[in-house]
Amino acid sequence: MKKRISNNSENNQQHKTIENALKTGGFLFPETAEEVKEFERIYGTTDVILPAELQEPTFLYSKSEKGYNSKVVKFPSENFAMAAREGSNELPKEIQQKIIKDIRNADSKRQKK
Amino acid sequence: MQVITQTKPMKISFTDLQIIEGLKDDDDLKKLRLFQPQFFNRFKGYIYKVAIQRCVSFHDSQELATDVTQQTFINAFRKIKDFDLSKEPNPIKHEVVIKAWLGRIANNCFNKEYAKRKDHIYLDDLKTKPEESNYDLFESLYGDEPIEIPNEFRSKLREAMKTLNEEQKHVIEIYAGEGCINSTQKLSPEKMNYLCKTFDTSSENIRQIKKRTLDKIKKYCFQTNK
Repeated sequence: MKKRISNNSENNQQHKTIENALKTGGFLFPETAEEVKEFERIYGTTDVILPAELQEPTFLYSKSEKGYNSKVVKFPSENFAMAAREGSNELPKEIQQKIIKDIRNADSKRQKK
Repeated sequence: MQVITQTKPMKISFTDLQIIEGLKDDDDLKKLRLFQPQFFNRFKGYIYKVAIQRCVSFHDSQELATDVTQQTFINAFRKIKDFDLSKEPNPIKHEVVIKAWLGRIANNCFNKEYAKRKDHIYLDDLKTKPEESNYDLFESLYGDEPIEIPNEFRSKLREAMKTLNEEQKHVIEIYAGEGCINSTQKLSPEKMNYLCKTFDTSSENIRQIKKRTLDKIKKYCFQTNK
């Protein structure tokens, strides 16, 4: 009886080890914060070289026929292309200030709640 | 003569929480125009890095990894309203929580792409889980501390996985993803249905494949330890 229990426990341990190694070893995308940390501990946080298709998120438009919900990205591709050309985080000062103002307003509303 | 001077755009750095909250306001096009690329540029490297490893055994690994990465962000922007990052009070943890959330979406995207290659349609798009009353998506992004696994074992497992055929590999990965490697844990009906459809076989057969695959991996990884 004792032997059977110890075999079961050994089996469980082995299964757990395999499962964890699969989850954090690049066989699956890590799905919890702890798994992400473990993955990054093993593989580091330096980025790999990205293919041209991932340099800018222009695919958000071209993939619309695959069932993409147009409500998510509402601005037309032309405007988006302009934003992409100018750099992903660079917009005219007055627009940036409006965005910052909106965020601050939203933050203060949240804090009041 | 009037001289037109161009103002240099100002570079601003937003926190992860500000970006997530900004993305939720999809009525404000200016915000979306700013935050979508910010979010994409911040996390694309991580998602692609895992994707390229996830897809390494496919002949067109780079293409598949690119598709999975793109689809992950498309789906993330669709589901952003359900993701409440403010539940995590510590801003230092926001990055890993976002990565975990994206990882969940990415696994679904990978399964969809995989099913597509087998001429099947995979419909599970995280729709079923959040509707369950006791399911908390945010809560589920936190798990137990992973057990310490020696590098030697990881290398052995990588070798063992190379010996599996495509079907065995995918079945065991789905079981692992669901936390069901242990025989006492049953695969969810959605995932079992997905496997049965993808491989045109019965659930009994899927269970057999899982069992044989697990035995093979164990034999490969643990036999020298005995």
